[in-house]
Amino acid sequence: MILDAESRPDDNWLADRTFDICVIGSGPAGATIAHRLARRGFQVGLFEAGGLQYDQKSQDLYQGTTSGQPYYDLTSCRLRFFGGSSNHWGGWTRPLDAYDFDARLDQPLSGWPIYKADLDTYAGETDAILDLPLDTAPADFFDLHPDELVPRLFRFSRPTTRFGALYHDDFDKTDNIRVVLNANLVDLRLDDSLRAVQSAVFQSYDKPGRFTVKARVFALCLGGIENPRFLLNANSQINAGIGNENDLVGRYFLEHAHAPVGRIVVRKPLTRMICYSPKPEFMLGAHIMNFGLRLGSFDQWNRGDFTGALDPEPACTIDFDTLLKAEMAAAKPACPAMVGDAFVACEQTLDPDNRVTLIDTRDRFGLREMNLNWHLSDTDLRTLKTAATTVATEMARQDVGRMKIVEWLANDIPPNKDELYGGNHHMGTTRMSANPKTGVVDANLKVHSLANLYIGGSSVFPTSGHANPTYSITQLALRLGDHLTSVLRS
Amino acid sequence: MLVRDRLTRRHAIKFLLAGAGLPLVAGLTLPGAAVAMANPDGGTDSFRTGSDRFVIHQGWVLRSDDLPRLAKR
Repeated sequence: MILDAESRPDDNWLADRTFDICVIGSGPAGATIAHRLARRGFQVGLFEAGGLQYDQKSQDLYQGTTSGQPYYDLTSCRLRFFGGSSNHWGGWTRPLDAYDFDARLDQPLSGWPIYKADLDTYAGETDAILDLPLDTAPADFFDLHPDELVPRLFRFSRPTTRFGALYHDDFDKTDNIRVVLNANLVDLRLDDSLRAVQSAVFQSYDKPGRFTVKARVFALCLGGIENPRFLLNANSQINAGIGNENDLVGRYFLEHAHAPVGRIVVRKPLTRMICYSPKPEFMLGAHIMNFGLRLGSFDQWNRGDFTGALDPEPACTIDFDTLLKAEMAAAKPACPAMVGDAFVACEQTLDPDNRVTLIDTRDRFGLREMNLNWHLSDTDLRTLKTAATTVATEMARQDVGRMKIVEWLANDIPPNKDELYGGNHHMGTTRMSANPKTGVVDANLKVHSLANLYIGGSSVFPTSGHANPTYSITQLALRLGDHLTSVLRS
Repeated sequence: MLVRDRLTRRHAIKFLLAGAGLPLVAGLTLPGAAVAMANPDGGTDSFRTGSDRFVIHQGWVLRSDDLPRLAKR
Protein backbone atom coordinates (compact mmCIF):
# COMPACT_ATOMS: atom_id res chain seq x y z
CA MET A 1 0.00 0.00 0.00
CA ILE A 2 1.05 3.56 -0.61
CA LEU A 3 1.16 5.97 2.31
CA ASP A 4 2.12 9.61 2.74
CA ALA A 5 4.46 10.63 5.55
CA GLU A 6 2.97 14.10 5.43
CA SER A 7 -0.33 12.74 6.75
CA ARG A 8 1.05 10.32 9.31
CA PRO A 9 -0.96 10.35 12.58
CA ASP A 10 2.13 10.79 14.74
CA ASP A 11 5.86 10.13 14.73
CA ASN A 12 5.39 6.63 16.19
CA TRP A 13 3.22 5.40 13.32
CA LEU A 14 5.76 2.76 12.26
CA ALA A 15 7.40 2.17 15.62
CA ASP A 16 5.65 -1.14 16.31
CA ARG A 17 7.03 -2.95 13.25
CA THR A 18 10.40 -4.14 12.05
CA PHE A 19 10.54 -4.44 8.28
CA ASP A 20 12.55 -7.22 6.72
CA ILE A 21 14.03 -4.58 4.48
CA CYS A 22 13.93 -0.82 4.37
CA VAL A 23 14.60 0.40 0.82
CA ILE A 24 15.34 4.09 0.51
CA GLY A 25 14.76 5.60 -2.92
CA SER A 26 12.26 4.43 -5.56
CA GLY A 27 14.27 4.79 -8.77
CA PRO A 28 15.23 1.84 -10.98
CA ALA A 29 17.36 0.23 -8.26
CA GLY A 30 15.14 0.79 -5.22
CA ALA A 31 11.84 -0.01 -6.94
CA THR A 32 13.25 -3.19 -8.46
CA ILE A 33 14.66 -4.46 -5.16
CA ALA A 34 11.46 -3.61 -3.27
CA HIS A 35 9.23 -5.25 -5.87
CA ARG A 36 11.32 -8.43 -5.96
CA LEU A 37 11.35 -8.88 -2.21
CA ALA A 38 7.69 -7.96 -1.76
CA ARG A 39 6.70 -10.62 -4.30
CA ARG A 40 8.64 -13.13 -2.25
CA GLY A 41 6.58 -12.34 0.81
CA PHE A 42 8.99 -10.21 2.80
CA GLN A 43 7.85 -7.20 4.79
CA VAL A 44 9.16 -4.32 2.72
CA GLY A 45 9.27 -0.62 3.48
CA LEU A 46 10.02 1.59 0.45
CA PHE A 47 10.68 5.20 1.33
CA GLU A 48 10.60 7.92 -1.31
CA ALA A 49 11.59 11.52 -0.61
CA GLY A 50 9.16 12.98 -3.13
CA GLY A 51 5.51 12.43 -3.93
CA LEU A 52 3.87 10.70 -6.85
CA GLN A 53 4.51 13.70 -9.10
CA TYR A 54 7.21 16.28 -9.61
CA ASP A 55 7.24 18.87 -6.86
CA GLN A 56 9.61 21.84 -6.68
CA LYS A 57 10.01 21.66 -2.91
CA SER A 58 11.42 18.17 -3.25
CA GLN A 59 13.48 18.94 -6.33
CA ASP A 60 15.07 21.96 -4.61
CA LEU A 61 16.77 19.57 -2.20
CA TYR A 62 19.08 18.57 -5.07
CA GLN A 63 20.76 21.96 -5.00
CA GLY A 64 24.53 21.97 -4.97
CA THR A 65 27.54 23.36 -6.74
CA THR A 66 29.82 22.07 -9.48
CA SER A 67 33.45 22.63 -10.38
CA GLY A 68 35.81 21.56 -13.14
CA GLN A 69 34.33 20.80 -16.55
CA PRO A 70 31.01 22.69 -16.90
CA TYR A 71 28.21 20.42 -15.71
CA TYR A 72 24.46 20.47 -15.54
CA ASP A 73 22.46 22.24 -12.86
CA LEU A 74 22.24 19.57 -10.17
CA THR A 75 18.52 20.20 -9.73
CA SER A 76 17.84 19.34 -13.36
CA CYS A 77 20.01 16.28 -14.06
CA ARG A 78 18.02 13.92 -11.82
CA LEU A 79 14.47 13.70 -10.47
CA ARG A 80 13.32 13.46 -6.89
CA PHE A 81 9.89 11.82 -6.89
CA PHE A 82 8.33 8.35 -7.15
CA GLY A 83 10.25 6.44 -9.82
CA GLY A 84 13.28 8.70 -9.44
CA SER A 85 15.32 9.66 -12.47
CA SER A 86 13.65 6.98 -14.59
CA ASN A 87 10.98 9.67 -15.01
CA HIS A 88 13.21 11.47 -17.51
CA TRP A 89 15.28 8.51 -18.69
CA GLY A 90 15.90 8.46 -22.45
CA GLY A 91 15.38 4.70 -22.76
CA TRP A 92 18.75 3.79 -24.32
CA THR A 93 20.09 0.44 -23.16
CA ARG A 94 23.14 -1.75 -23.58
CA PRO A 95 24.66 -4.27 -21.23
CA LEU A 96 28.26 -3.70 -20.26
CA ASP A 97 30.85 -5.45 -22.43
CA ALA A 98 32.61 -8.49 -20.94
CA TYR A 99 35.93 -6.69 -20.90
CA ASP A 100 34.43 -3.78 -18.96
CA PHE A 101 34.66 -6.10 -15.96
CA ASP A 102 38.39 -6.74 -16.44
CA ALA A 103 41.19 -5.10 -14.51
CA ARG A 104 43.70 -3.14 -16.57
CA LEU A 105 47.24 -2.59 -15.38
CA ASP A 106 47.23 0.87 -16.93
CA GLN A 107 44.07 1.77 -14.97
CA PRO A 108 44.71 1.29 -11.25
CA LEU A 109 41.62 0.18 -9.27
CA SER A 110 39.86 -0.97 -12.44
CA GLY A 111 38.13 -4.34 -12.54
CA TRP A 112 34.87 -5.54 -11.06
CA PRO A 113 34.74 -8.22 -8.35
CA ILE A 114 32.09 -10.01 -10.43
CA TYR A 115 31.90 -11.29 -13.98
CA LYS A 116 29.56 -10.23 -16.75
CA ALA A 117 28.07 -13.72 -16.44
CA ASP A 118 26.88 -12.81 -12.94
CA LEU A 119 24.69 -10.10 -14.51
CA ASP A 120 23.78 -11.95 -17.70
CA THR A 121 21.71 -14.26 -15.50
CA TYR A 122 19.29 -11.37 -15.17
CA ALA A 123 19.23 -10.28 -18.82
CA GLY A 124 15.85 -11.85 -19.58
CA GLU A 125 14.13 -10.28 -16.60
CA THR A 126 15.76 -6.95 -17.31
CA ASP A 127 14.61 -7.08 -20.92
CA ALA A 128 11.06 -7.71 -19.69
CA ILE A 129 11.13 -4.89 -17.12
CA LEU A 130 12.48 -2.42 -19.66
CA ASP A 131 10.22 -3.82 -22.41
CA LEU A 132 13.07 -4.27 -24.86
CA PRO A 133 13.14 -5.89 -28.29
CA LEU A 134 15.25 -8.98 -28.89
CA ASP A 135 18.99 -8.66 -28.43
CA THR A 136 20.30 -9.41 -31.92
CA ALA A 137 23.82 -9.05 -33.25
CA PRO A 138 24.17 -5.77 -35.14
CA ALA A 139 25.32 -5.81 -38.74
CA ASP A 140 28.57 -4.07 -39.57
CA PHE A 141 27.00 -1.57 -41.96
CA PHE A 142 30.35 -0.34 -43.28
CA ASP A 143 32.39 -3.51 -42.77
CA LEU A 144 35.16 -1.51 -41.13
CA HIS A 145 38.56 -2.69 -39.89
CA PRO A 146 38.00 -5.93 -37.99
CA ASP A 147 41.09 -5.58 -35.80
CA GLU A 148 40.04 -2.32 -34.21
CA LEU A 149 36.29 -1.87 -34.08
CA VAL A 150 33.22 -3.90 -33.39
CA PRO A 151 29.61 -2.88 -34.15
CA ARG A 152 27.42 -2.51 -31.10
CA LEU A 153 23.66 -2.59 -30.67
CA PHE A 154 21.58 -0.21 -28.61
CA ARG A 155 18.08 -1.28 -27.71
CA PHE A 156 15.41 1.20 -26.72
CA SER A 157 12.80 1.03 -24.01
CA ARG A 158 9.69 2.24 -25.86
CA PRO A 159 7.52 3.54 -24.44
CA THR A 160 10.25 4.24 -21.92
CA THR A 161 9.84 2.39 -18.66
CA ARG A 162 9.10 4.70 -15.74
CA PHE A 163 9.63 2.62 -12.64
CA GLY A 164 7.06 4.50 -10.58
CA ALA A 165 4.31 3.94 -13.11
CA LEU A 166 5.45 0.36 -13.69
CA TYR A 167 5.09 -0.71 -10.07
CA HIS A 168 2.52 1.73 -8.67
CA ASP A 169 -0.52 -0.54 -8.87
CA ASP A 170 1.36 -3.61 -7.66
CA PHE A 171 2.71 -1.69 -4.70
CA ASP A 172 -0.66 -0.17 -3.88
CA LYS A 173 -2.52 -3.49 -3.70
CA THR A 174 0.20 -5.49 -1.96
CA ASP A 175 -0.21 -5.80 1.79
CA ASN A 176 3.37 -6.70 2.67
CA ILE A 177 4.88 -3.54 1.20
CA ARG A 178 4.54 -0.05 2.59
CA VAL A 179 5.52 2.66 0.14
CA VAL A 180 5.93 5.87 2.09
CA LEU A 181 6.03 9.10 0.08
CA ASN A 182 7.48 12.43 1.19
CA ALA A 183 9.89 10.60 3.46
CA ASN A 184 13.29 12.31 3.44
CA LEU A 185 16.10 10.27 4.92
CA VAL A 186 17.96 12.39 7.46
CA ASP A 187 19.98 9.84 9.42
CA LEU A 188 20.91 6.19 9.79
CA ARG A 189 21.40 5.11 13.39
CA LEU A 190 23.96 2.42 14.12
CA ASP A 191 24.05 -0.01 17.03
CA ASP A 192 26.53 0.41 19.86
CA SER A 193 29.19 -1.60 18.04
CA LEU A 194 28.85 0.70 15.01
CA ARG A 195 28.71 -2.46 12.88
CA ALA A 196 25.03 -2.52 11.92
CA VAL A 197 22.25 -0.10 11.07
CA GLN A 198 19.45 -0.19 13.64
CA SER A 199 17.09 2.35 12.18
CA ALA A 200 16.55 5.00 9.57
CA VAL A 201 15.25 8.43 10.49
CA PHE A 202 12.94 10.34 8.15
CA GLN A 203 11.33 13.73 7.99
CA SER A 204 8.54 15.04 5.79
CA TYR A 205 8.25 18.60 4.50
CA ASP A 206 5.54 20.40 6.40
CA LYS A 207 4.58 18.18 9.32
CA PRO A 208 7.08 18.78 12.13
CA GLY A 209 8.94 15.96 13.81
CA ARG A 210 10.84 12.92 12.62
CA PHE A 211 9.94 9.25 12.52
CA THR A 212 12.08 6.16 12.84
CA VAL A 213 11.98 2.95 10.83
CA LYS A 214 13.48 -0.32 11.99
CA ALA A 215 14.46 -3.13 9.64
CA ARG A 216 16.67 -6.19 9.42
CA VAL A 217 18.50 -4.86 6.40
CA PHE A 218 18.64 -1.49 4.67
CA ALA A 219 19.22 -0.65 1.01
CA LEU A 220 20.31 2.86 0.08
CA CYS A 221 19.21 3.66 -3.49
CA LEU A 222 19.29 7.43 -3.76
CA GLY A 223 21.30 7.79 -6.97
CA GLY A 224 24.95 8.24 -7.88
CA ILE A 225 25.25 11.70 -6.36
CA GLU A 226 22.89 11.43 -3.39
CA ASN A 227 24.17 8.08 -2.12
CA PRO A 228 27.60 9.54 -1.28
CA ARG A 229 26.13 12.85 -0.17
CA PHE A 230 23.95 11.09 2.36
CA LEU A 231 26.70 8.75 3.62
CA LEU A 232 29.07 11.69 4.13
CA ASN A 233 26.31 13.53 6.00
CA ALA A 234 25.61 10.49 8.19
CA ASN A 235 28.24 11.49 10.72
CA SER A 236 26.24 11.56 13.95
CA GLN A 237 28.13 8.48 15.19
CA ILE A 238 31.10 8.21 12.80
CA ASN A 239 32.86 11.49 12.04
CA ALA A 240 33.94 10.58 8.52
CA GLY A 241 30.49 9.35 7.59
CA ILE A 242 29.11 5.86 7.15
CA GLY A 243 31.19 3.53 4.99
CA ASN A 244 33.93 6.12 4.62
CA GLU A 245 36.67 4.49 6.68
CA ASN A 246 39.03 4.61 3.70
CA ASP A 247 38.04 8.03 2.37
CA LEU A 248 36.41 6.50 -0.69
CA VAL A 249 32.81 7.68 -0.38
CA GLY A 250 32.16 10.27 -3.07
CA ARG A 251 35.46 9.68 -4.90
CA TYR A 252 35.95 8.22 -8.37
CA PHE A 253 32.83 9.85 -9.77
CA LEU A 254 32.34 8.68 -13.34
CA GLU A 255 30.36 10.14 -16.20
CA HIS A 256 30.18 9.25 -19.85
CA ALA A 257 31.77 12.13 -21.72
CA HIS A 258 29.44 12.89 -24.64
CA ALA A 259 30.62 14.86 -27.66
CA PRO A 260 29.49 15.51 -31.21
CA VAL A 261 32.72 14.68 -33.03
CA GLY A 262 31.99 15.15 -36.70
CA ARG A 263 29.90 15.17 -39.86
CA ILE A 264 29.81 12.36 -42.38
CA VAL A 265 29.02 11.94 -46.06
CA VAL A 266 28.34 8.34 -47.09
CA ARG A 267 28.00 6.42 -50.34
CA LYS A 268 24.96 4.40 -49.34
CA PRO A 269 22.08 5.80 -47.34
CA LEU A 270 22.03 5.34 -43.60
CA THR A 271 18.92 3.47 -42.57
CA ARG A 272 19.81 2.87 -38.94
CA MET A 273 22.02 4.42 -36.32
CA ILE A 274 25.33 2.58 -36.35
CA CYS A 275 27.54 2.29 -33.30
CA TYR A 276 31.19 1.20 -33.23
CA SER A 277 33.20 0.36 -30.15
CA PRO A 278 36.87 -0.53 -29.78
CA LYS A 279 37.97 -4.11 -29.43
CA PRO A 280 39.73 -4.73 -26.11
CA GLU A 281 43.09 -5.31 -27.76
CA PHE A 282 42.78 -1.95 -29.47
CA MET A 283 41.84 -0.22 -26.22
CA LEU A 284 44.83 -1.67 -24.42
CA GLY A 285 47.30 -1.08 -27.23
CA ALA A 286 46.20 2.49 -27.85
CA HIS A 287 45.81 3.23 -24.12
CA ILE A 288 42.27 4.44 -24.50
CA MET A 289 39.02 3.75 -22.72
CA ASN A 290 35.90 2.10 -24.08
CA PHE A 291 33.65 4.18 -26.30
CA GLY A 292 30.59 4.04 -28.50
CA LEU A 293 30.78 6.10 -31.67
CA ARG A 294 27.38 6.59 -33.28
CA LEU A 295 26.72 7.48 -36.87
CA GLY A 296 23.29 8.76 -37.79
CA SER A 297 21.21 11.83 -37.17
CA PHE A 298 21.71 13.82 -34.00
CA ASP A 299 18.22 15.32 -34.26
CA GLN A 300 16.58 11.94 -34.69
CA TRP A 301 18.33 9.99 -31.97
CA ASN A 302 17.43 12.68 -29.45
CA ARG A 303 13.73 12.10 -30.04
CA GLY A 304 11.80 10.29 -27.35
CA ASP A 305 10.45 7.75 -29.84
CA PHE A 306 13.77 6.88 -31.50
CA THR A 307 14.24 3.12 -31.86
CA GLY A 308 17.42 2.97 -33.92
CA ALA A 309 15.86 3.26 -37.38
CA LEU A 310 16.44 6.52 -39.21
CA ASP A 311 13.60 8.30 -40.99
CA PRO A 312 13.30 7.21 -44.64
CA GLU A 313 14.63 9.91 -46.93
CA PRO A 314 13.97 10.40 -50.67
CA ALA A 315 16.32 8.52 -52.99
CA CYS A 316 19.39 10.54 -53.88
CA THR A 317 20.56 10.95 -57.47
CA ILE A 318 23.45 13.28 -56.71
CA ASP A 319 26.86 11.62 -57.01
CA PHE A 320 29.14 11.20 -54.01
CA ASP A 321 31.80 13.71 -55.05
CA THR A 322 29.24 16.46 -55.53
CA LEU A 323 27.76 15.74 -52.12
CA LEU A 324 31.17 15.64 -50.49
CA LYS A 325 32.23 18.90 -52.10
CA ALA A 326 29.00 20.58 -50.98
CA GLU A 327 29.35 19.30 -47.45
CA MET A 328 32.99 20.45 -47.35
CA ALA A 329 31.73 23.90 -48.33
CA ALA A 330 29.19 23.66 -45.47
CA ALA A 331 26.28 23.84 -47.92
CA LYS A 332 22.83 22.68 -46.88
CA PRO A 333 22.66 18.92 -47.55
CA ALA A 334 20.83 18.13 -50.76
CA CYS A 335 20.47 14.46 -49.83
CA PRO A 336 19.74 14.08 -46.10
CA ALA A 337 20.00 10.30 -46.34
CA MET A 338 23.65 10.54 -47.38
CA VAL A 339 24.90 12.90 -44.67
CA GLY A 340 24.84 12.59 -40.94
CA ASP A 341 26.44 13.15 -37.58
CA ALA A 342 29.15 11.35 -35.64
CA PHE A 343 28.87 11.33 -31.88
CA VAL A 344 30.89 9.65 -29.14
CA ALA A 345 30.05 8.61 -25.60
CA CYS A 346 33.16 7.37 -23.84
CA GLU A 347 34.23 5.73 -20.62
CA GLN A 348 36.25 7.83 -18.21
CA THR A 349 39.46 7.02 -16.42
CA LEU A 350 39.31 6.57 -12.66
CA ASP A 351 40.28 9.75 -10.82
CA PRO A 352 39.90 10.19 -7.04
CA ASP A 353 39.56 13.96 -7.52
CA ASN A 354 36.40 13.53 -9.55
CA ARG A 355 34.22 13.49 -6.51
CA VAL A 356 31.27 14.54 -4.39
CA THR A 357 32.22 16.61 -1.34
CA LEU A 358 30.10 18.40 1.22
CA ILE A 359 29.92 22.18 1.35
CA ASP A 360 28.91 24.40 4.27
CA THR A 361 25.44 25.30 2.97
CA ARG A 362 22.72 23.19 4.57
CA ASP A 363 19.39 22.11 3.19
CA ARG A 364 16.04 22.52 4.95
CA PHE A 365 16.65 19.30 6.91
CA GLY A 366 20.07 20.36 8.15
CA LEU A 367 22.08 18.13 5.80
CA ARG A 368 25.04 19.73 4.05
CA GLU A 369 24.73 20.32 0.34
CA MET A 370 27.45 19.06 -1.98
CA ASN A 371 29.88 20.02 -4.68
CA LEU A 372 30.46 17.82 -7.68
CA ASN A 373 33.93 18.12 -9.17
CA TRP A 374 34.22 16.65 -12.65
CA HIS A 375 37.01 16.93 -15.13
CA LEU A 376 38.43 14.91 -17.98
CA SER A 377 41.86 13.34 -18.17
CA ASP A 378 44.24 13.36 -21.11
CA THR A 379 43.27 9.72 -21.66
CA ASP A 380 39.60 10.66 -21.84
CA LEU A 381 40.30 13.29 -24.49
CA ARG A 382 42.61 10.92 -26.35
CA THR A 383 39.81 8.35 -26.36
CA LEU A 384 37.42 10.81 -27.99
CA LYS A 385 40.02 11.78 -30.57
CA THR A 386 41.05 8.21 -31.28
CA ALA A 387 37.43 7.18 -31.71
CA ALA A 388 36.76 9.93 -34.23
CA THR A 389 40.04 9.51 -36.08
CA THR A 390 39.82 5.75 -36.30
CA VAL A 391 36.31 5.73 -37.71
CA ALA A 392 37.07 8.63 -40.07
CA THR A 393 40.20 6.90 -41.34
CA GLU A 394 38.47 3.58 -41.82
CA MET A 395 35.56 5.19 -43.66
CA ALA A 396 38.04 6.75 -46.07
CA ARG A 397 40.13 3.58 -46.33
CA GLN A 398 37.09 1.47 -47.19
CA ASP A 399 35.79 4.32 -49.36
CA VAL A 400 32.34 4.04 -47.78
CA GLY A 401 32.27 7.74 -46.91
CA ARG A 402 34.23 10.63 -45.46
CA MET A 403 34.11 12.27 -42.07
CA LYS A 404 35.00 15.72 -40.80
CA ILE A 405 36.31 15.89 -37.25
CA VAL A 406 35.13 18.87 -35.24
CA GLU A 407 37.68 21.64 -34.85
CA TRP A 408 38.27 21.51 -31.11
CA LEU A 409 38.97 17.80 -31.20
CA ALA A 410 41.15 17.91 -34.30
CA ASN A 411 43.23 20.77 -32.96
CA ASP A 412 43.36 19.96 -29.24
CA ILE A 413 41.39 23.03 -28.21
CA PRO A 414 39.68 22.75 -24.80
CA PRO A 415 35.99 22.02 -25.47
CA ASN A 416 33.23 24.33 -24.30
CA LYS A 417 30.07 23.08 -22.63
CA ASP A 418 28.23 22.74 -25.94
CA GLU A 419 31.01 20.61 -27.39
CA LEU A 420 31.50 18.13 -24.56
CA TYR A 421 29.08 17.26 -21.79
CA GLY A 422 27.93 14.50 -19.50
CA GLY A 423 25.16 12.02 -20.12
CA ASN A 424 23.41 12.45 -16.76
CA HIS A 425 25.04 9.15 -15.81
CA HIS A 426 26.27 9.40 -12.23
CA MET A 427 28.46 6.46 -11.32
CA GLY A 428 31.34 5.23 -9.19
CA THR A 429 30.93 7.18 -5.96
CA THR A 430 30.41 4.15 -3.67
CA ARG A 431 32.47 1.79 -5.75
CA MET A 432 32.37 -2.00 -5.56
CA SER A 433 35.52 -3.93 -4.70
CA ALA A 434 36.36 -7.21 -3.01
CA ASN A 435 38.95 -5.26 -1.01
CA PRO A 436 37.63 -2.82 1.62
CA LYS A 437 40.69 -0.64 1.02
CA THR A 438 39.61 0.02 -2.55
CA GLY A 439 35.84 -0.08 -2.38
CA VAL A 440 32.86 1.04 -0.30
CA VAL A 441 30.74 -2.05 -1.03
CA ASP A 442 31.65 -5.67 -1.61
CA ALA A 443 30.65 -7.92 -4.51
CA ASN A 444 27.21 -8.38 -2.91
CA LEU A 445 26.80 -4.58 -2.65
CA LYS A 446 27.03 -4.65 1.15
CA VAL A 447 28.91 -1.77 2.74
CA HIS A 448 32.17 -3.38 3.84
CA SER A 449 32.12 -2.01 7.36
CA LEU A 450 28.47 -2.75 8.18
CA ALA A 451 26.56 -5.99 8.51
CA ASN A 452 23.23 -4.93 7.04
CA LEU A 453 23.59 -1.87 4.83
CA TYR A 454 23.47 -2.38 1.05
CA ILE A 455 23.72 0.10 -1.79
CA GLY A 456 21.84 -0.05 -5.08
CA GLY A 457 22.34 1.94 -8.26
CA SER A 458 25.20 3.06 -10.46
CA SER A 459 27.20 4.52 -7.58
CA VAL A 460 28.52 0.97 -7.06
CA PHE A 461 30.01 0.72 -10.57
CA PRO A 462 33.81 0.42 -10.20
CA THR A 463 34.20 1.39 -13.85
CA SER A 464 31.59 2.48 -16.34
CA GLY A 465 32.24 1.09 -19.81
CA HIS A 466 30.46 3.19 -22.40
CA ALA A 467 26.98 1.67 -22.07
CA ASN A 468 24.14 3.72 -20.67
CA PRO A 469 23.78 2.53 -17.06
CA THR A 470 20.09 1.78 -16.51
CA TYR A 471 20.30 -1.74 -17.92
CA SER A 472 23.16 -2.67 -15.60
CA ILE A 473 21.49 -0.89 -12.66
CA THR A 474 18.43 -3.09 -13.15
CA GLN A 475 20.51 -6.27 -13.47
CA LEU A 476 22.40 -5.42 -10.29
CA ALA A 477 19.15 -4.66 -8.45
CA LEU A 478 17.67 -8.03 -9.41
CA ARG A 479 20.87 -9.74 -8.32
CA LEU A 480 20.85 -7.84 -5.01
CA GLY A 481 17.22 -8.87 -4.56
CA ASP A 482 18.25 -12.50 -4.88
CA HIS A 483 21.15 -12.07 -2.49
CA LEU A 484 18.94 -10.36 0.09
CA THR A 485 16.40 -13.15 -0.27
CA SER A 486 19.01 -15.65 0.85
CA VAL A 487 20.23 -13.32 3.61
CA LEU A 488 16.74 -12.77 4.97
CA ARG A 489 15.89 -16.46 4.83
CA SER A 490 19.06 -17.53 6.61
CA MET B 1 27.89 -16.94 -7.30
CA LEU B 2 31.01 -16.07 -9.15
CA VAL B 3 33.22 -13.65 -7.31
CA ARG B 4 36.57 -12.82 -8.78
CA ASP B 5 39.39 -12.04 -6.43
CA ARG B 6 42.38 -12.29 -8.74
CA LEU B 7 43.31 -11.90 -12.36
CA THR B 8 43.37 -14.94 -14.53
CA ARG B 9 46.66 -15.86 -16.12
CA ARG B 10 45.32 -14.89 -19.53
CA HIS B 11 44.36 -11.45 -18.32
CA ALA B 12 47.63 -10.91 -16.52
CA ILE B 13 49.63 -11.63 -19.65
CA LYS B 14 47.41 -9.39 -21.72
CA PHE B 15 47.75 -6.49 -19.32
CA LEU B 16 51.50 -6.85 -19.05
CA LEU B 17 51.78 -6.59 -22.80
CA ALA B 18 49.56 -3.55 -22.84
CA GLY B 19 51.54 -1.92 -20.07
CA ALA B 20 54.70 -2.36 -22.09
CA GLY B 21 53.04 -0.66 -25.05
CA LEU B 22 53.48 -3.69 -27.25
CA PRO B 23 51.04 -4.43 -30.04
CA LEU B 24 48.71 -7.17 -28.91
CA VAL B 25 47.50 -8.39 -32.25
CA ALA B 26 49.87 -9.12 -35.09
CA GLY B 27 49.40 -6.59 -37.86
CA LEU B 28 47.22 -4.31 -35.79
CA THR B 29 47.50 -0.78 -37.07
CA LEU B 30 47.03 1.93 -34.49
CA PRO B 31 45.93 5.33 -35.74
CA GLY B 32 48.74 7.05 -33.86
CA ALA B 33 49.74 9.22 -36.78
CA ALA B 34 46.19 10.31 -37.33
CA VAL B 35 45.59 11.02 -33.67
CA ALA B 36 48.62 13.29 -33.55
CA MET B 37 47.52 15.15 -36.66
CA ALA B 38 46.14 18.63 -36.52
CA ASN B 39 45.85 21.39 -39.04
CA PRO B 40 45.21 24.51 -37.01
CA ASP B 41 45.74 26.79 -39.98
CA GLY B 42 43.02 25.03 -41.90
CA GLY B 43 45.58 23.73 -44.35
CA THR B 44 46.26 20.19 -45.42
CA ASP B 45 48.36 17.58 -43.64
CA SER B 46 48.94 14.01 -44.58
CA PHE B 47 49.53 10.77 -42.73
CA ARG B 48 49.88 7.10 -43.46
CA THR B 49 48.44 4.05 -41.77
CA GLY B 50 49.88 0.87 -43.17
CA SER B 51 50.23 1.30 -46.91
CA ASP B 52 47.41 3.82 -47.21
CA ARG B 53 47.95 7.56 -47.33
CA PHE B 54 45.36 10.05 -46.13
CA VAL B 55 45.12 13.80 -45.85
CA ILE B 56 43.35 15.97 -43.32
CA HIS B 57 41.90 19.02 -44.96
CA GLN B 58 39.94 21.49 -42.83
CA GLY B 59 39.10 18.66 -40.48
CA TRP B 60 37.99 16.22 -43.22
CA VAL B 61 39.84 12.92 -43.25
CA LEU B 62 40.26 12.19 -46.96
CA ARG B 63 41.96 9.73 -49.25
CA SER B 64 45.07 11.16 -50.85
CA ASP B 65 43.44 11.37 -54.27
CA ASP B 66 40.26 13.10 -53.07
CA LEU B 67 41.41 16.71 -53.24
CA PRO B 68 42.85 16.56 -56.79
CA ARG B 69 39.71 14.80 -57.99
CA LEU B 70 37.34 17.22 -56.30
CA ALA B 71 39.32 20.20 -57.61
CA LYS B 72 38.54 19.16 -61.20
CA ARG B 73 34.80 19.23 -60.61
